[in-house]
Amino acid sequence: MTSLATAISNPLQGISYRSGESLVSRVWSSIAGVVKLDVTEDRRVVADRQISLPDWVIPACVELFFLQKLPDNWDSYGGVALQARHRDAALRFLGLVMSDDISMPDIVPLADGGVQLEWRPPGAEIDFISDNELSEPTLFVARNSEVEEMYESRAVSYFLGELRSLLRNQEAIGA
Amino acid sequence: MSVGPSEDPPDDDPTVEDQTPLYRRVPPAHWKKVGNEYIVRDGAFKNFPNPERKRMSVVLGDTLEQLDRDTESVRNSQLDYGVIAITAKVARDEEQRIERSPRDDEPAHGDVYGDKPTGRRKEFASQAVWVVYPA
Repeated sequence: MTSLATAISNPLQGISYRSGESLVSRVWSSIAGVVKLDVTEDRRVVADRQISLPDWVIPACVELFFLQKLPDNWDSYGGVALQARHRDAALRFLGLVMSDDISMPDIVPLADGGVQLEWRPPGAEIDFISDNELSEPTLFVARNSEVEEMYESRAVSYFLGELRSLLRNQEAIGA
Repeated sequence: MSVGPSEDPPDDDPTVEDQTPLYRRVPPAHWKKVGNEYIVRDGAFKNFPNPERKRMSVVLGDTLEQLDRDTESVRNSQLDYGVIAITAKVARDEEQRIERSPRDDEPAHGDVYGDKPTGRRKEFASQAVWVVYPA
């Protein structure tokens, strides 16, 4: 578990958040509202120092934060920074399926401001994608040359039921 | 020199032969190194984000050769980028059309036109060959 206040103050320092609209508050709400947030006058995000969070939360937040700050043309082909609705979709999905015994996905920016969460266990490619081409965020599971697609409602139960065992973080299990 | 985007959908240009390499730069976010192997992510094969056309920029290998340029030049001095190639046939087999669209800053520029849903991007990634590894 990670101490929220110490881990998050630096990456997010200087960024203004309004209650209920921020990346951070959205994450917190997605993990059952266990954290209370205040925005101090110096615009730092702070929280109860007694609160601990699952290990995946801070790295995911920081990565998404940086993807939001990508410069225009970040890929040399006109790519744009991560858009808020795709960030929220990724956070929501992570909040619904992640736990510390599941490997963190690679969090990959897409040129249109979308995001792709990539897991690559042996024998499978698991991707959650939110972008401007898909009508709604979608989980793709490629195994044995076949690709299954599913929207969030089915994706969460499928992920937790069928994929979780593939994605167990051996380090966490052994700890 | 520059040719603006033509009307959609463009015709496939038969002068781009099937074996022609189509080169594409790969930014750091779209490759990773696993052991000694460089992996290109399928996100590298997404269409241009401005949706006026469903196109993906490439550098055409035949024109590059005519210009007596090497593949290193595709990277455009961005050393943390790599360069991969798929053949025109691989693109066409995935219902893409290829057109020559030279630009002032890249006379060998081409476009690979067509929808590129996830499965198709994965196919491109699996068929791609590294021609310049990231430095």
